[in-house]
Amino acid sequence: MADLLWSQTVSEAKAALEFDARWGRLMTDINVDAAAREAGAIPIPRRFFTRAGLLGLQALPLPPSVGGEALDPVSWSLALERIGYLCQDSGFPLVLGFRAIIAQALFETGRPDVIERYVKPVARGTLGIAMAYSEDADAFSFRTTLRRTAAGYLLAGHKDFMTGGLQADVILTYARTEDDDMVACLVHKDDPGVHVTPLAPVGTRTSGPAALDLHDVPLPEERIVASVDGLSHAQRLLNARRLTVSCAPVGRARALVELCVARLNTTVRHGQKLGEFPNVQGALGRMYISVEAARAMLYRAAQRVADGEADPLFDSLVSAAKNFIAEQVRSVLDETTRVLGGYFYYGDPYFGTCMRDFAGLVAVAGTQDILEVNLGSLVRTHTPPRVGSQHDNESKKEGPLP
Amino acid sequence: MMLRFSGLLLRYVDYQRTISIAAPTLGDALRQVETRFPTLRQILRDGEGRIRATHRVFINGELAPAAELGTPLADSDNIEFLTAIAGG
Repeated sequence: MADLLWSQTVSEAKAALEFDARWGRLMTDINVDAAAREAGAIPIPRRFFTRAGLLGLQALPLPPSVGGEALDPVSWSLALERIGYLCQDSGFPLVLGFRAIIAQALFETGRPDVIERYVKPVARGTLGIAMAYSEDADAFSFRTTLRRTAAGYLLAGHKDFMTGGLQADVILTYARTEDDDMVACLVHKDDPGVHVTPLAPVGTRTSGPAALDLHDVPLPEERIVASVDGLSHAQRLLNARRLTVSCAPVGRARALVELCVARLNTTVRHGQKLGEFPNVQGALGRMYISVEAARAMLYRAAQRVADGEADPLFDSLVSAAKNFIAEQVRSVLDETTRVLGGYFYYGDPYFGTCMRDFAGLVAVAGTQDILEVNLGSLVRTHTPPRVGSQHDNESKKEGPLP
Repeated sequence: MMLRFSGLLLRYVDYQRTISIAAPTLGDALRQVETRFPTLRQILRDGEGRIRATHRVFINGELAPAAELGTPLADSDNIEFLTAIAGG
């Protein structure tokens, strides 16, 4: 029977059932110590990613030739949303989604050595991989360098943060070359001169966040996976990340609404359940609107990617979706704060976890402000001039001001 | 023709939004403007001299996908560069 509240197509309902049958147990097991890990900023254990690989979850969107199921972007987004709904460890979908993006990018090099050495083990869940891009500088002022010496290439620099860095064996990173281009290359965590330092971020504390230091790391030439225009290579990954990073929070926001309702229906004030107060119901209505609006935007963007119509480097709709979803899920949390009051603040630490995690959405894969500026410039440039509008005609009649 | 720059590219052309150039092709126009503003080259082009994929090039308001340096230009053409990039 159709869900009369939450929008869900028949195929979406079927996909959710299939997801639960294949990976529901994994989600339950991850949840067991999720709160303790979050409280202690303990990285989500590697064994969960190994199981995700073993059970085919990690490889879902990847091609069959590397063990995947070539899941389309809409279905993959549904799977990540389901993880967000079921899984209380936000680090899991964050790292899982990013590993799939990196593996896909490496697959697209078409190099058999890269596919065998990195892509297939990532798909199987036996190799951890992360991306280290950001520096405390704009992209044209990065200081990490790759220089050629008589003995070979040397990589040197510092990357401020990377998701999943503590669980990674291999890191995809970016460096400037002597001719002022940028390359993408792979370093192994056990390469001499590679140092990974844990970070203590505001949220998503179980995602294994880390900084990367590279002290004249000898780099074999075959580890360079994009020898020119690494900037565009990175932007492709970040554009894809904007979509995947938005999925789980949408599922989580719905779970948050349900958690909130459960509390409201058991809390009595002035002889009435809190959920029966009209102002509280108004808040629940706004939360519902936010979740459904976020879903609508998410799947419209995912469909655009699935149809091959998205700009692979900076897609306007994907970027707008990330921006919009970040605001909607934060709005759900804000409404939760208002209706639950002291219970939100003191009663359940999970609300604080959500607050910290959702804050990260403002910054991840392009800050909200940068996305808005980029979108505005695209709107301006792509919009054809309107000729013969009423306003123009009136202006012409009036002539120039004296 | 007129070359138009905006956003983060402005820094590399001394904040001149429009630059007038006479050149037969896009590549020739770029070479001229890069001579005046040498750091622009490393921003606009990759190590093989191609326009980086992150830059969108509009010719007379029309997006020119994979803009080729050999694209012929007329004196009346307007070329606009737009760069939409974001962090990690």
